[in-house]
Amino acid sequence: MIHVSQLVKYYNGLKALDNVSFHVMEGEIFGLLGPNGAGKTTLVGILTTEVKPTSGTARIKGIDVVNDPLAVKHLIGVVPQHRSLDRKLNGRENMLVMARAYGVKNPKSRVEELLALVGLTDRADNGIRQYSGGMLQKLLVARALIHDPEIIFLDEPSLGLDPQARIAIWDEILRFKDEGKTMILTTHYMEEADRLCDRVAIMNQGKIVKEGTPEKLKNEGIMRSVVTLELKRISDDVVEEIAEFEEVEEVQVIEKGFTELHVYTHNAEKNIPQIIKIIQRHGLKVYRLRSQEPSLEDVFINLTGRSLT
Amino acid sequence: MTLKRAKWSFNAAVAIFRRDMYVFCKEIGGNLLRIVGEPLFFLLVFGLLLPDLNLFPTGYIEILVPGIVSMSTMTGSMRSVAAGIGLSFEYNEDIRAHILTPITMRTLALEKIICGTFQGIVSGTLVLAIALIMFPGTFSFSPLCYCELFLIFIASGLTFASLGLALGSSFIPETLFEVMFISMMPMMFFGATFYPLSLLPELNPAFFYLTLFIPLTYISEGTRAILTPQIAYLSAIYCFIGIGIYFVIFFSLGLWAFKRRAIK
Ligand SMILES: Nc1ncnc2c1ncn2[C@@H]1O[C@H](COP(=O)(O)OP(=O)(O)OP(=O)(O)O)[C@@H](O)[C@H]1O
Ligand SMILES: [Mg+2]
Repeated sequence: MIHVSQLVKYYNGLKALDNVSFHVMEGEIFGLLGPNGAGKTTLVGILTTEVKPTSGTARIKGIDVVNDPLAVKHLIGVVPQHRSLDRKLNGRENMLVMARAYGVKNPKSRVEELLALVGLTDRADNGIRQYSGGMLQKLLVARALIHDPEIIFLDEPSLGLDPQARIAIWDEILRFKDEGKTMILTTHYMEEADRLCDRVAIMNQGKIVKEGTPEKLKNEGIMRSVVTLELKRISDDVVEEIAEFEEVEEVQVIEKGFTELHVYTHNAEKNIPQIIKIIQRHGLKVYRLRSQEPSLEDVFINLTGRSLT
Repeated sequence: MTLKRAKWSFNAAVAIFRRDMYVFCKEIGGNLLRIVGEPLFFLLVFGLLLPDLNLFPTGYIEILVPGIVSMSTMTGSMRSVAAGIGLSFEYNEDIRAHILTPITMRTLALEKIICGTFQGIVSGTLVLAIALIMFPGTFSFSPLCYCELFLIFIASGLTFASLGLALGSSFIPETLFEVMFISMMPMMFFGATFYPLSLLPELNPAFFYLTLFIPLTYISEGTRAILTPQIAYLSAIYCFIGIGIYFVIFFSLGLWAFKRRAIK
């Protein structure tokens, strides 16, 4: 569906993309994960024809993005990172202009349908300036769908949203997937990539440093969770037994008046019940249990040996 | 480009043009003030007040009006496009949405130029109407003359909207307004607006060549050739050739600058 080969992009001497290659299959959600300035938006920009590559090629459904940008734009929907809503128009008018520009049949009913879908019908007559961040994001998502594109690019769709709005956008994205749409999603959040993406590429300084399914990245020790348990006390046998699990990388015991156990594992889901069983077998009691997903920071330290800048 | 792509592009251009016209009408009050405000003051001071005070001869109106009408077609088109594009890239950001639609950058640039041309024509027509009301009986011309004038307004609009596109795409708003001021001032005052070209070759040859160099001169003289042929120096055909050359230059520049700004 999407083939990217050896893309390089320089902005006046600054290297933003450094020989990036990957492909995305039909119906897949492909995640681009990386810190600020990694080149995610630049990469998406090239695929959506807004940025000209310095060298390399990118094809969407066999169409070259440089040679035939019009056909590419007709095929894709874009939720840009940098807001691009018309502040001189209200929500409905914003949608209507785009519906007409894409030559959508029955633009008015299509607009109403999408406004209802994202729950903005009530506020559609408000000017864009009166929208909250979450509403703007919803409108952008609705706008990207106006011509029912097969492929959708989402550049940090959940940036700045509260947890509830974030989950609403995630649900939306998963529904697109059910409809068979292909998506490229950029994000800073490991959790988002983990929940939504079939495959993830981790970018740093214009390069893809790792690519694979979230499972694969976890199994390779790139994604490492921390399971924290609070107990009254603990015995050395318990620690030893936990440390013997294949997925467990390290166990730390911290005394804070009570005992805190930090278990670093590549598969928290599998290990948590096992750990609890061991503790119970030794007649101990867990007061509190907390499992923390690996952060992008962890992944980076793992991959690059340096912390996120 | 296949027919299908041409159709997509055209469709998008029409939708965006509709949007631009809608916004123009929505902000009609401010737009009209911007379009006719400045020329109106020139007409009041140089056309009414100074001749009343016997500082200027009454006949000066015949020289002034074609110049001011021409100037307003320039300011109307150039300012609207330059400010519109400059602010849109930096603040309103509607242009970013338009770039995403299936439209070629050339067509999008042309759409902006046509919008600007429209404002130039509105501006010229309104200012001419105001002048005819202010100075009844000074000018007499047939409907056919207005058709010719209309062509000149179109030529002016296209040329200066293209220049506006070039400026608006090349400068950020913080510097854009200074650049516009610097480029418009010589045009407003040396573009045969307040004086006819015909007097210059004998009285001030240096100024004559300077004036010939200014694109607005060809609009002012073209308007004179129709409204007051007795004081026109260049015939309409030379005016069209002159402005045509500037149009080609500004259009190429505008398109180049717009593409460069739109696609990073
Ligand atoms: N228009 C531009 N002109 C010059 N440099 C740019 C431009 N856009 C991006 N860059 C540079 O290219 C690099 C990659 O930027 P990009 O926006 O692609 O990163 P990103 O991964 O999307 O970051 P973020 O997470 O902050 O959105 C950065 O160093 C940035 O400064
Ligand atoms: Mg970005």
